[in-house]
Amino acid sequence: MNKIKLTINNQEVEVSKGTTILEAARSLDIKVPTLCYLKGISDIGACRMCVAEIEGMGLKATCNLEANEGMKVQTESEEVVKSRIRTLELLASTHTFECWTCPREESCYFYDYLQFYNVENTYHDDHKFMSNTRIINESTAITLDSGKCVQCGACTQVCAKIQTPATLDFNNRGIDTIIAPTSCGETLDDIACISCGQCSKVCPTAAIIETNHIKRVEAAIKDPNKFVVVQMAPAVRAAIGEPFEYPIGTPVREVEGKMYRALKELGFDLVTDTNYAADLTIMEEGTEFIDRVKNGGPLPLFTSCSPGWLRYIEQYRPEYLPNLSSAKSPHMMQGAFMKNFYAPDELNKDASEVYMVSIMPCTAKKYEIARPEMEQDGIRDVDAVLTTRELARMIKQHGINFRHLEDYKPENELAQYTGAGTIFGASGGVMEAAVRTVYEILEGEPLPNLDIHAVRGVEENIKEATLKLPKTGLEVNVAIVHGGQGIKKMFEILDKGEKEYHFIEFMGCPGGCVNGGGQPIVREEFMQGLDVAELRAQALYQSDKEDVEFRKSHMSPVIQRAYEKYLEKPGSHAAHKYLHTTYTDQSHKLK
Amino acid sequence: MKNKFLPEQLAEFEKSIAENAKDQAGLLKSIHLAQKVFGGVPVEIQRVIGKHHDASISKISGIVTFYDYFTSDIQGKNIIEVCVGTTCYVQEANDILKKVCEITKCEPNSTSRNKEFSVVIGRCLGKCELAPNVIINHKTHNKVTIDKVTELLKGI
Amino acid sequence: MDIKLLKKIKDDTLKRVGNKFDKDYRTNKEKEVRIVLKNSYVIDKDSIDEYIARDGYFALNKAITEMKPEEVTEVVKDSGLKGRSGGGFPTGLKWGFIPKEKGQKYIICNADEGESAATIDGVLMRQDPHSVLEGMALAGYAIGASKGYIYLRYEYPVCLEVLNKAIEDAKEKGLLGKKILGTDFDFEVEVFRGAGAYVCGEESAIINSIEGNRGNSKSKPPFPAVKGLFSKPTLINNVETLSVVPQIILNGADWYKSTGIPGSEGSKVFTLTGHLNSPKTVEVPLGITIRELIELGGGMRDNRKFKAFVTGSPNVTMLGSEDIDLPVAFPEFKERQVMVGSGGVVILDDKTCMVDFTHFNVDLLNIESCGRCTPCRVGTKRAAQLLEKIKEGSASLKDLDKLIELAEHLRTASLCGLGQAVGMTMHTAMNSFKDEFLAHINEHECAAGKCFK
Repeated sequence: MNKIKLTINNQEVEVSKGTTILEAARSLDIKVPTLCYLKGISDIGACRMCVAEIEGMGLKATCNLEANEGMKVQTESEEVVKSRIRTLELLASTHTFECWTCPREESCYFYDYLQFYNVENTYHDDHKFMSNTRIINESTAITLDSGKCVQCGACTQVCAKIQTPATLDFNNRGIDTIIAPTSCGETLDDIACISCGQCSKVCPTAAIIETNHIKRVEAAIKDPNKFVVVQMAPAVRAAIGEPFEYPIGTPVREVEGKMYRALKELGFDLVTDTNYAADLTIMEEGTEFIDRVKNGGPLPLFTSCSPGWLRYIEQYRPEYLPNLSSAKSPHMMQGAFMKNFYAPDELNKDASEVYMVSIMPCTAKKYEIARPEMEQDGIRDVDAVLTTRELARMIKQHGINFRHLEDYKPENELAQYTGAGTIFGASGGVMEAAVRTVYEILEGEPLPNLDIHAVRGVEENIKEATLKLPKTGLEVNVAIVHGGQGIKKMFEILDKGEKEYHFIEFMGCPGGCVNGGGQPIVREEFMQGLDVAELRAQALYQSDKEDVEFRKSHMSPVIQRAYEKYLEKPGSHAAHKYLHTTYTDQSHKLK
Repeated sequence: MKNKFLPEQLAEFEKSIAENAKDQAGLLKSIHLAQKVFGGVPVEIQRVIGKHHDASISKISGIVTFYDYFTSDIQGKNIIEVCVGTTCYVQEANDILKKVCEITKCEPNSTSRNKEFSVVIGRCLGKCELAPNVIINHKTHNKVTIDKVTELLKGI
Repeated sequence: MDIKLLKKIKDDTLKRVGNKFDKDYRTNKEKEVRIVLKNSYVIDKDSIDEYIARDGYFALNKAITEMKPEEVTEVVKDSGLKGRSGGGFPTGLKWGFIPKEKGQKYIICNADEGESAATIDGVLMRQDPHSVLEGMALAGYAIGASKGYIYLRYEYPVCLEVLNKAIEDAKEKGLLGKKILGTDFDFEVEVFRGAGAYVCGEESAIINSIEGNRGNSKSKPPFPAVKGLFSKPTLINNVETLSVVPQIILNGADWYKSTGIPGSEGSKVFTLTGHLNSPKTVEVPLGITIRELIELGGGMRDNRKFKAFVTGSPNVTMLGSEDIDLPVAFPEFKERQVMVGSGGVVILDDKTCMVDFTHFNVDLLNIESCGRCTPCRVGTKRAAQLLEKIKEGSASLKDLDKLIELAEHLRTASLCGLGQAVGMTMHTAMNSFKDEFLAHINEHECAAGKCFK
């Protein structure tokens, strides 16, 4: 490969041909500020923060300028810094500053730059420089706030290139330019958005955030007539440490106990764990799979735990809905099971008294709880969803010192789980958990190796494996698909019908739930999104291997008890009533 | 759905844009056609175009709102375009624009409530020697004065 | 079609039209020339035969039967021809940037004559469409492109009709399409209609627009020459530039250079508008002074005093009365950060307020900004607001400093030419009319009586 030599801030560096100046500078550990840049996804050069002085060329954006032999670059000259300050002053003049109430108070790149460059907010003194009308566009899962938008367009790129629905774009021109689903006021509910929230993770400010549920949760906690139960998803424990300065990928055992304790201190009446219902999901979905194999399909069976994926299939490929497992997602099962069985029976609480809060790595879960099917006799299965980010924010708002919390382990049955439940949070985890159970049910003997490496990892957005069942004589082709791009590709493969699959795990977000749209934000310049997913997934796999007593859902004593006492058997009438759901063709949504 | 379109009109339109969809430079052509056929490109039509051109509605909306000659509302029966390009501006085209808005009860770049008029701000119509210029229903009028434009609008 | 037939059409047509071609529409035969406008208003725009009778398509025949592609580029280079759309970049050099490798390449004729007051491209397309088509075919032959788009601004419906007819006629005669003039050279032309956006006169914005996107500009490099339309090498020239190429090829570089002055070779068409007695379109050799141009326009209207010479609106750059004897030429203008522009000239008299005029243009430019980069999207708006403050009488000298600073920021940090040129607009206004700005701020005095209302 061709090599190129250039000098950046008087240091010589050699890079491969095609490397941008920005990447070359990063290789020298020279920090170049960026707002709109996402490596490999967005390099439109719009924000003008990454400018540098290039000999003979003047100021140039470095994010999309390829290095040339002999180039001389200054990234910190007086001229460059002055230009960045002016750019920031202009952006500041359009910004709604309410930092103390802003969900991005600690992770706002824009704020950091304003601070770093010591930018004076010169235009704010004069009413003449009034900003544009602020437009807040709220949907069930995601809220767009034009008052915070710096028009970097990263969201539009992630949506179009990584997730594929392309439901955000620039509208209008000049100062009236606004990023929105359409120009006519449609929300992300009205159009074929999948609520995955990947846009919110690349937004440098709070222009795209999860729709706030903190307020309703706080109100419920304060309400003496409500028994507030909380549950948290498998992937939350893989990342909850990050907002409290724990490194990415911190082992689950170091933070899980603190997380339970924090929830207790926040005033939740009962702390449970979605991992419990993840085990329940395996029982239901696994049984559904066996049933479909034995009774002629329809196959392949698609998993149904990711609501982003649900929106995708309902809106874009409804013809495949019969393949979708009817099992609710774990936290919906947990909500339904809690309200309809556990609370009345074990806690002596009526379903209507129980207020169910889910802590999720996901923004689409906020949409999921609002689906009309998700209720029994007018009582919603789950009442509120907080993202991992929102939980961290609540903990901080309450002045709880997370790092110094003593571990706590809830004793109730709905907080007990197996390793199979834990790995739900990683791409391939649902499949691995299902295989552990399905194999043993069909074969009647233990699976020789519980670690199924073929379904792990995040490098490919479609992973495949074949599972041989020697006794039954079956060969089961499974696939794991994550992220919109992978989903789109998988449907193209299925359309062709050349390959036979039996069971496919689909996740709306690239990397699965650990990289969900509600997870803590990691700055692009520190790490690539998927590396983060890999590290967080490792934490879950480690926990599965080292922390738990049981690693297979069907071996869980609490799950066995749930069936004995309430549900009879997987797929029973009661299970169907409470733990399964239906889907509808949503292809009429604007797309 | 705010706007109603005749099914045969829609079918005819879809047939035409199916051709454009094969052309890699065809998207703007389809939007042009929609603007001409329907007098605007509302979301319902944006969706139809997006479907054929494999583009999301957000992308189409972004394009429609970018260009001056595309509108996401259906335009009025009479379209009055007042040029406010530099040459016309230095010859007091703004006063003419004000007068037109006053007579038609219409804001610049919008459509009157009774759907009779749309007033469009033009940006140089290429007849600068004859400035100021106004186009009323596709007919160009040169060296327009306030009196002249008042007369012209009376004639509609 | 071959050269024999071409000659026959020429001879037959000349016989038929009699002395029609002897007409000369120049009002000042001394100062005006007829190169670009050679055929305009002389021939019947719908008659390809009349174009041929004026040596039309002979250059194309000469190039594809006698010259190698790189020789064509060489002649254009030697002629000193510079882009007529505003920037004044050497045309031959631009052609030379296109990679020599075979493969799909494109020619785009920039007919988005967005500059207010510039009408020359419209005139050429309406009056002499074949000269544009022949120029495109020559460029296509020189760089190895087989497809050309004319990016036509929406406001020119007549040009659309005329061009489409011209393309049909040329195809029918084998002068466009497959196997042109019996050779292996293929070249198709398609007219693509814009939809109203000033920024779509910018190269990368045109490309985005044809590809079916918002007309945003893109960062350069990569230049269109390397990665242009549909990611293929693309040459973009404006109408006036391309339409003069056939004559350069036919008559040679030296012939072209004999008009104009060194560094600014050839002629340029200007549309003289504004406060003149007889606004009109004239073709003059480059190097002519501003004073001479005003005279060609019949002098100042109502005998008022000349105040400003403005090109390129709304991305205007301006010169004041002290520069009245400056030659209109690329190097001289560049030195003052003024653009020759694409031919639109607005002459302003002393009744005009330059603060108001600058405000009008900067405000308009914000509306026309594609909204992509921060300096242009927000900076132009803040600049317009600062100018509004000056107009209202609420500005201080600090605001003027801010304006100067913004002009510099726009010029250096904007993504594309539009934003950079706004910086030049502000710079030239505050440079040439500094006293007027100061009088507004310090004395609340507007000599033209436009402000402080």
